[in-house]
Amino acid sequence: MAVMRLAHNIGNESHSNYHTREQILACNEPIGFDGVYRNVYENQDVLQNKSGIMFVMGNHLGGDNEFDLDNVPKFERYCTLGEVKELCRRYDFEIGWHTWSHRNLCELSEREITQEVAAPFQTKYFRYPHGEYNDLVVECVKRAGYRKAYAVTQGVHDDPYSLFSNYVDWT
Amino acid sequence: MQTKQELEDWYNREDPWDYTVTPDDIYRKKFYLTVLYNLGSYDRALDIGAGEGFITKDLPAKEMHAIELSDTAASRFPESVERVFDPIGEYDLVLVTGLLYEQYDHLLIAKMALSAASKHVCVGGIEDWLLPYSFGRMIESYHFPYREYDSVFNVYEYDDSVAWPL
Repeated sequence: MAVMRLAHNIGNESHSNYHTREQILACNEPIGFDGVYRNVYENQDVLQNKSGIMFVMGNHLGGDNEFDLDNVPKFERYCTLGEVKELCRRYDFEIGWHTWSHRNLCELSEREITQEVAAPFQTKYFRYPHGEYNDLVVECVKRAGYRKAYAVTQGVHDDPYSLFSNYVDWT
Repeated sequence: MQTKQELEDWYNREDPWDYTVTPDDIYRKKFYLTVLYNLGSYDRALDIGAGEGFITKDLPAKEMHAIELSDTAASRFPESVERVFDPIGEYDLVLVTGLLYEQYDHLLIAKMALSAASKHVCVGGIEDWLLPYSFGRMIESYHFPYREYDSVFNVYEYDDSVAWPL
C-alpha cells in the first residue's frame, strides 16, 4: 500500500479534521479514516474507486464525539459497526482498530494498553490515538498481532509499526 | 460446589460480583457484545448461567432465554429476558461465560450448550481456569486482561461431529 493519507470528517468546516468532498475526490492515495464519522457514510459516493482503512473506536461506535469537543469544532456522530462494515463491503476499504477510548496510550499502564489495543474483530491494522506511541505501546501492538500500525506526521516510511500518514491535502 | 442455598444467599445483595460498577466487567461486556454484533444478529440466544442477566439483556438477538439456578438472581432478569430451566429448541447463539471451570458442573453445562446450539457457541472465561471444551470449529478467539487474570473469549461454529470431549 502506498503512503496512506489521514482524514476524519467529510464536511466544510475549516479545520484539519474536515475535508470537503472535492478534497477527498482529489486524493489519489489510500485514505485512513479515523472515527469513523457518520458524515463519511453520508458522503460515501466519494469513496468510489478509493481504497484505505476505516479505523474505529470501540467505545464510540454509534456514539458521538462529545468526549473530544475541546479539540474539534463541532458535535458529530460516529458510524455504527454495521455501517462501517457496509462501507468496507461496498468500497475498497478494510476495517482497522483505533482503540476503545482514544486515550493517549503513552500515558497508560501496560495492562491498560493491552486492553485498549485488543480489537473485538479480526484486523491487521492499527492507528495510534493522537498518533502517539513509545516502545511499550509498539510492543503491545505487536503482541496483539497487528501487521501495521499508523502514526500521523511523526511516523516514518520504513517501519510497519510507526508508519507515516499525513493528512489528505486541504489546500 | 456451591449448594443452591449458598447461591441464593450470595445473591441476597444485588449485583454481588459488582459487575455493573467494575471497569473490567464493563469492558468485558462491551468486548463480548462488539464481537457478537460484528458476527451478525441472532434470532434466538441462550445464556447459560446468566446471573442477573448483566450480559444477556443486551445480546443482539430477537428472543433471549437464560438459564440461572438462583431464583433470586433470575427474579432480577429484565423483561426482555425469559427464564428457562432447560433449552427450548435450538438457538443460533449460545453463550457460556465463566462457567466451564472445574468448580462447576462443567460437563452438564457443556452438554446443555451442545444440545441447544445451531450456529454459534461463545465461551468466555479466565484462561487458566477454562476447561478445554470445544463446540465445533473455532472461528475467532480473543484475549484481554481481566481483573488479575487473562481472559479469553472463543467463538465456535457449532459442529457436533468435532465437539470435544463430549
